[in-house]
This record gives sequence, structure tokens and C-alpha cells, in this order.
Amino acid sequence: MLINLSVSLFPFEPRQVTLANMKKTKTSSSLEKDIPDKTLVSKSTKDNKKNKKNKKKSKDLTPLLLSLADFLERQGYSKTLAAFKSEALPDEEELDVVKGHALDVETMYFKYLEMSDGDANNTSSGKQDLSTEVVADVCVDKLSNGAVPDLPVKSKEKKKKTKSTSEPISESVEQSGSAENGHLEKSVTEEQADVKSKEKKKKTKSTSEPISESVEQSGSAENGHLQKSVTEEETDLKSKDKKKKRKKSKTESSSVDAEESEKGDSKNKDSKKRKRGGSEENESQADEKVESKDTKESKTKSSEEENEKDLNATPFTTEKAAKKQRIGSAEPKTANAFRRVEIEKVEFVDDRLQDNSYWAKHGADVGYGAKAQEVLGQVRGKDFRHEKTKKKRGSYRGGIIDQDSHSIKFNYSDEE
Amino acid sequence: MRPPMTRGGRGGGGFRGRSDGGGRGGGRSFGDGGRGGRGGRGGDRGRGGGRGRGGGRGGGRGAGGMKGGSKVIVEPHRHEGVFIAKGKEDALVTRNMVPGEAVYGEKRVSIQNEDGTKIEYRVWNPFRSKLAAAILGGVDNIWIVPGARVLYLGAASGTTVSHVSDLVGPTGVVYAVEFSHRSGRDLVNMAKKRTNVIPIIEDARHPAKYRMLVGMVDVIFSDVAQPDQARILALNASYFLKNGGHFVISIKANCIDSTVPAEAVFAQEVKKLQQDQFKPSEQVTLEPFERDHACVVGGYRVPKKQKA
Repeated sequence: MLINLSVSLFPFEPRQVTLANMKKTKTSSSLEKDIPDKTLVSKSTKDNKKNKKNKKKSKDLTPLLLSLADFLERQGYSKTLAAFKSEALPDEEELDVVKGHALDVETMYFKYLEMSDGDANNTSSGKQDLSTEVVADVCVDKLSNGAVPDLPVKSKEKKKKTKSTSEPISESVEQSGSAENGHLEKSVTEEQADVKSKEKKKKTKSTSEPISESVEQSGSAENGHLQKSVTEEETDLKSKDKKKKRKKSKTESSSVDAEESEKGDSKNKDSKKRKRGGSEENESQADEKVESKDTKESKTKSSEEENEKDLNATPFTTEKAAKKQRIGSAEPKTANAFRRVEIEKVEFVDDRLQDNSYWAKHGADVGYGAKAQEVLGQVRGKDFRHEKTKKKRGSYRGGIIDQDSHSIKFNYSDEE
Repeated sequence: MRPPMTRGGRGGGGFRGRSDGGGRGGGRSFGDGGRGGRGGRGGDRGRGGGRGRGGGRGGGRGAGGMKGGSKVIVEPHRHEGVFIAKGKEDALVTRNMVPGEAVYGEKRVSIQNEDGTKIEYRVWNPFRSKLAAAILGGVDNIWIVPGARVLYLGAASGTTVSHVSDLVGPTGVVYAVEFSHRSGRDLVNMAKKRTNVIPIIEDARHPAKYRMLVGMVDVIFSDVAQPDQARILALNASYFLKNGGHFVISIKANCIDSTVPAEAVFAQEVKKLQQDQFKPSEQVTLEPFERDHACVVGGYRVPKKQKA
């Protein structure tokens, strides 16, 4: 049983305060006292989640995969089906055994819609979660029995009516966070890619964003087929009801904003801002313009988890982690250093220009700088500057000044 | 005509002696062997003051350059306005526009003409001035002559500017541009005594800011030591340098790119200058006076010579 904890119930304790307390006590017992209750609760929920994952892993997903493959074949997604078969489906020998127990995905979905009609009046989030759990149980039962009752196919009008109820369900599916069915998610996204390629011209950016969100955060294997069918339904509706959707999305976003402003305490918002860059999910969501309630709830959960980590960790380890993140995030340095002069492109007009030294110059032996070169030619850097400073004092006697021209001339072809 | 020999003046008084009475003969004498200064007065408890020795060394600051006692002949260099003081050792000199005044503590050579008038020359140290280093390096033409109008970029404290001021004389003018206010103070103080120097405390990258102060010039001398010095020179030339005018630029290789050989840097800078309507005519190394420096001289928007 999942325990939904609202953040506002617990007082926000700054990290600095907790760290100071940790330093004072320096014992494990005192550490446990300092950490707020919410961390302990969340630990227990984590354990529950782990147990659930282990149970799910034991279950066989082949009937579900076959039902998806069957659906893809009927709808005519040939490329997606081929990719799906190559990645997800088991060997051909096993297929014959399991084909008899295959589910009909569409009938399952319509069955679910009937159930959700009854729950349309219930607005509380707790009841919605229960309904999803019930549907999941039904799915499991049908998988075990193998028999699927035939249900009449509903009209598109029915779909329009039930659209409002299906949205929160898809959101709840987004929240469930197990990563077992990676291959299943792939197939769903491939389907959607095909649908999108067909209906690109009709779609607008604002309508396509919520779908991508739901696909990215799709959860457990039990709810996978439900979510897929929901997203398909949404794509069908998009092509027909553009204007309605635009209006809806505007109203929804405004209502979400209003609810947020009522809900959120200033402290919670500050903590969100601080911990915002923590998880990859949050980063991907930050780019999108319209955010649903549930994505924000997931943000708060992830921020809670981060708070726990920060409280448990010592300041030394946190500093190390921060350094590692900085190093990791930095882009790899380019091999080529910055150069103002590219030697490969340089062309010398005269061979004498390739040597800038004193002795390469014509008349260097009898020149005024010959004595200085004997001293200054031996030294570089600081010593050169030191020796040159001595010469600046006026004590230098260079001998006889030669009045001849020793410069290197540039010859031009246009001169006559 | 051989310039006249001159007899050096009498040396000044010596320093006051230490307690052992060893006062050194002081004073400075130019030209033909002036007498040494009188001995310093003896210390209070020491022996009496020593007598002055003859032939005190000229030039000040201890070590001798142009010795006070030696005979010096000043003759003109092939560059107009530049002279060579020939004695036991040669020195490059310019005629001092403000006699009796040293700008940066340089040695001075005073010569008396046949008519009795004195001419003072200031020693031009190639280790302190890149233009002097270029002249001694054997540059063919510096284009800075008496009566010329010169725009000097990167004037600093005005050591070289003072010699350029001597070169162009009272009929010429030197526009000295320096961005540093600290160096600019010395430059302004020097310009107070030299009427042909116009100090401009402004960034050479923005010639539009001082366009009202500077007229058209014959020569631009650039010693800014910046990575984009070719662009700075081109920008100033487009504002102030006349067609057929000339430029002298000192290039510091390490300032542009210290990772490549100096020769490659100079070659690229010459190429840049050629792209900006300059026509470099010659290049000379400033070794050993400067490390990894070269001086490039050339013309600006030079009209093509017509066939006869």
C-alpha cells in the first residue's frame, strides 16, 4: 500500500542546521533523532517498492507482448512491428505455446473505460489511484486465465466523453516508476512516431508535448498497455478536435497555475528551486512549457529524496560529489590549442626572414650590438631582463656605429 | 667641415666626506677634459678634506659613457636629424631641443661652435628605445625627418617621443598617444617643455575619440605591443595618414603568439599589413637590444610608378 505524503505536513529544516546538529552529537543514535520523520517513512516506502519490483520481475510478460504485436499487425504498423519483434518478442518456438493466451488490447481498454465511467464523479486523487490498481488486478487475472470476454466496440463520441477521465489516468501511469519494461516503452514510442509522421501537418506543438511527457515517464508493465491505448486515443482526437484541445490546454494550464499558487508555501518553493537540478527527469521537464500537476508532485518527491541524502551525507562527501558533477558536466577540452598564427599557412617572401637572430643579419660581426649579443644571447627570461637593465644604465659601449643598411627588403613586381 | 673641439667646464663641488675625510671629487664635465671637482669637506672627527683630483668623469651616475675628459666629435648620421658622437666609443645622439634638460636621466654631450654658441646632444640608448635599436640595426629609412608630422602610438613615458621630438625639430610635430594615465603624467610633463609634442591620453583602438586633435600626418610610428596592433595601425592610418605616407611598426612576437617561432609571427603580421593597403618595404631584427622583436617599415597607399 502506497502512502501519499504531502510536503506541507512536515516542517522544512535547513540543511545547515541538520549538519550542525550532526557535528555536535557525533553518534548514530543522535543522528537518527535529528533526521525528520519523513525520511524514515520514505525509507519504508522504498523497501516496499523494492519488494514489488522483485515480484513483478517473476511474472511472465510474453502474453502481453504478443497482444501488443497482434495489435500492431492489425493496425498496419509494419516497421514498428518488425522492430518490436526483433527486440521484445521471444523465440518462435515459444510463440506457438503462448498464442492461445494472448490478450486483446482494445477490448481491455474498453473494459477499463466502462469502469472509469463509474468513477468519473469521484474527484479525489486517492480514488483514482484505487481505480488504476483495480484495473491492474483485472489485467493480471485475465493474463492468468487466458480467456478474454468479447466487448462491443465503442463509438468515437463515447471516446470524446471519456477523454476527461482518461487524462488523470495517464498521469497516474506516468508516476509509476519501475524500469522493467524498457523494451515495451520502446515499442510504444515507435508506434507514436509512426502516427506522428502521418499526422504532422495537423498537429501543433502545444498538443504534442503532453504525449511525449507521458511516454517518457511511462511506468510498470501492468499499466503499459493501458497507457499505450490512451496515447493512441489522444492522437486520434488531435486530428479531429484541434480547436477544442487548444482551448482545453489553455484552461488546464491556468487552473494548474491557480492551484499551485494556493497550494505551495514559500518554503517549499524555495526548496524546489534549490534542489531543482537534481534528477534527470526534472531537467527534461524544465524545458517544456506546460507542466501537469503530477510531474510537479514527482518533483517534490525527488527533492525529498535528495534532502534525505543530503542529511545523511557528511559535508566532505557532498563537496566531493559536487566537484565530480562539475568535472563530469564540463565539456571535453579540444585537442588543438588556440593559435593566432598557423605555421602551416605562413609563407616567407625571403629566406633570410626565416631567421630573426642577430648573427643571421648582414654585418653582424662589426655591428654595434655584437658585444651585447655575446652577453644577452646566453640568457633568456628573467636573466635576459636583468642583463638588459644593466645595459640601460648607459654604461654600454658597443664600438663603432656602422651606417650601412642591413635590413631585409621586400621586392614588389609592380615597381619599375 | 669638422665640428670644433670644446674645452670642458670646471667640475662642481664634491660630496661631503665621510668621517674618515674621504670626499669624492664630484661634478660633471662635457667636451674636452674639464677639471675635476674639489674634494669634499672632511668629516667632523676624521682627517681634513682631501684635495680635488683632475679629470673627473662626466656623465653622472658613476659608470662612464661619454667621458668628460675625452675629445668628442659629433657627425650626422645618414638619417636626417640623427647624429653620431664619435670618441673612444661611438654613441647615437639627437640634438636636444631643450638644452640643459635631460628627459630620463640620459647622458648629454655639449659642443661649442666656432661662433661661441653651445649645442647640446642627448645620447639615444638603443636598449631603451626601439626606434634607436632599429636605426643601429641598419634600417634603410625611418622617414622621420626634420619638419615631419608624426603620429606616435604607444608613447609610454615619452623617452623615445622626446628623441623623435628632437628629430622633427620645431617645425615638425609629434602626436603622442598613450592610454595609461600613469605613463601619461610623465608624457604630459615632458610635453610641457617641448612645444612640438602633443600628448593624447586615449586608447589607440578608438582614433575617432581624438580625431579633432590630430591632423594629417606623414609618418605613423607604432609601438603598442598588442595582438591586434596591425589593425590598430590600419585604423589610425585610415584616419590620419596621408596617401603615400609611411609607417614604422615595432612587432613583439610574444605578444601576438608565444607558441610559434617569432619569424612566423612577423611573416603573418607583414601579410596582414599588406591586406590593409600598407606596402612593407623592409624588415629588420631588433636583436640583441630586444628579444624576439622586429621592425617593419613601409608606405601607405603608395601610388604605382608609371613607366617612362
